Amino acid sequence: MDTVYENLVFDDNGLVGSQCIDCKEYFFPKTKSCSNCSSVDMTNKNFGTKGRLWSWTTQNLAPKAPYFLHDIKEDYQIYGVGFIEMPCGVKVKSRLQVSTVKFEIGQRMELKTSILEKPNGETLPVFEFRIEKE
Amino acid sequence: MERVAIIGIGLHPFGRTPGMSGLDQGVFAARKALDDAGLKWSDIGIAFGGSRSSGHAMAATNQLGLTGLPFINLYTGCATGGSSLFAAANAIKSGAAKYAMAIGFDKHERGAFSPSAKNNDIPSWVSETGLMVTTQFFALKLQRYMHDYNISHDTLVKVAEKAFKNGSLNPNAWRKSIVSYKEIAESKMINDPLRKYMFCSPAEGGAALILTSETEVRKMGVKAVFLEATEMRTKNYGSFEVYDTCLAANIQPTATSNAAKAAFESAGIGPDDIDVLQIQDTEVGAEIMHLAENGFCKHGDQESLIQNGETLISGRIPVNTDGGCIANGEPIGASGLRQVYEICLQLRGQAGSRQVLNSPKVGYTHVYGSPGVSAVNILATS
Ligand SMILES: [Zn+2]
Repeated sequence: MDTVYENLVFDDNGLVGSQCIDCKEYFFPKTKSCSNCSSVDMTNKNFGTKGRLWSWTTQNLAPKAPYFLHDIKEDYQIYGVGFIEMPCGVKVKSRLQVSTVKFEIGQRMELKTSILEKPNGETLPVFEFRIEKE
Repeated sequence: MERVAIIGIGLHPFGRTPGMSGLDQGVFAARKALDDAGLKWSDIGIAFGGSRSSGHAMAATNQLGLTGLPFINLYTGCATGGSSLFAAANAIKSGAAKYAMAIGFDKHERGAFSPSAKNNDIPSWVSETGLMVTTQFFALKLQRYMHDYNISHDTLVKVAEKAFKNGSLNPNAWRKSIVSYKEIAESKMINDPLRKYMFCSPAEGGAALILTSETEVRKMGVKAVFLEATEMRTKNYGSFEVYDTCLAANIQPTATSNAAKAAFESAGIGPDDIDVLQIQDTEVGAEIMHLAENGFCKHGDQESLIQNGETLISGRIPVNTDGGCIANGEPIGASGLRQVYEICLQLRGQAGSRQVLNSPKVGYTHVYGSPGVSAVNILATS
């Protein structure tokens, strides 16, 4: 497992979140406590790599700082944002890869880890979902 | 429990006012509210105020007078004005003071707000990877809603069209020009399905209200607008609110629905009894979805309601008669108080060319702020 930040864990096997041991609710990213029942007994849960598009939008303007690429004005690449409903029911907010196929609620989506890169060589690993290839 | 009354209202016009700070505009509004109530600043026994970008609200006492009163700064995102009023009303109910003021002002830079991940207990990577943009939340919630309840793109445009039309009738509004259907429908896409003219923008302005008890109103022999209910709720588990990084398998009603339900219960009336309303329209989808969340229609009925013109000033349930956030812009500290200011004008019959006909008697206001706060009020003439 690649731990990108303390609470952000993902790799090609899936996104890792938390499950509450007491009420069984799922959370992403990993959390220290349960916002449903206030329990602090949490366990890791791998949500897998596949889900369905629950809602989507596009980010047509470059977000302001601290967005990693906020200072790259020319050649801005529109990206998608969506909630992916994972098999366990939790919906995870994620970047979406834009392609020629229009997003539609209910589409089958798959996880694709990726790297955001600046001209100066700085990089940021990200997780994204894309429409599943037939 | 004794009823709370609003006996003074004041506003500094919203928009852009070069040469005046946000605080100056708040002081302007406070003085207007005092004049309206026939009171002096030294009569105010407690105050609650908020601002996001213009410093501590309490600093207004430097200009209004250092009377030593308890003055509490508060901030609940876009719901700040609603929270100030909620706190001031409860101070009157508790007997903490004879007269209370709720005040708000702001002066924001141009362009969208850039929310802080840290301040919202959100991991920094969420904003670094471009997932913490407030307008994305509006679009994601609306996209799903349109899918579930068959709301058309045409209806989105009509809500914006109404906002600019109503704003053109309001001398205190920022956007006082009508924007055509075509201009709205063809404006730049920001977050699909939301386009440029469907959003409100950060702006400037100030608003203030003066509250007292019903007993005091009778003693003074003045006319007042009564707060039949004032309720505030924060998000509960499972609701879909701004900045959420995941949503529960079973989505639950929002903070807005819970605040609205509590307010109607407390006032002992229902949505059908409301003659004029102000609801948070940070963008057109918010107005559409909040109509149902506040109980004014069933989910999905907005489509026919709006297509039939029922939410126009001349309609059955006039919504955002002053142009709402879309035409007024949003100075965060003042926005929720502007809504109540407008309802007071409507109930007093002082709304000029945008006056709702047949003497409205009961009004309603609703604000929504990050990271999931809602405050609502039910107001009545008697
Ligand atoms: Zn739990």
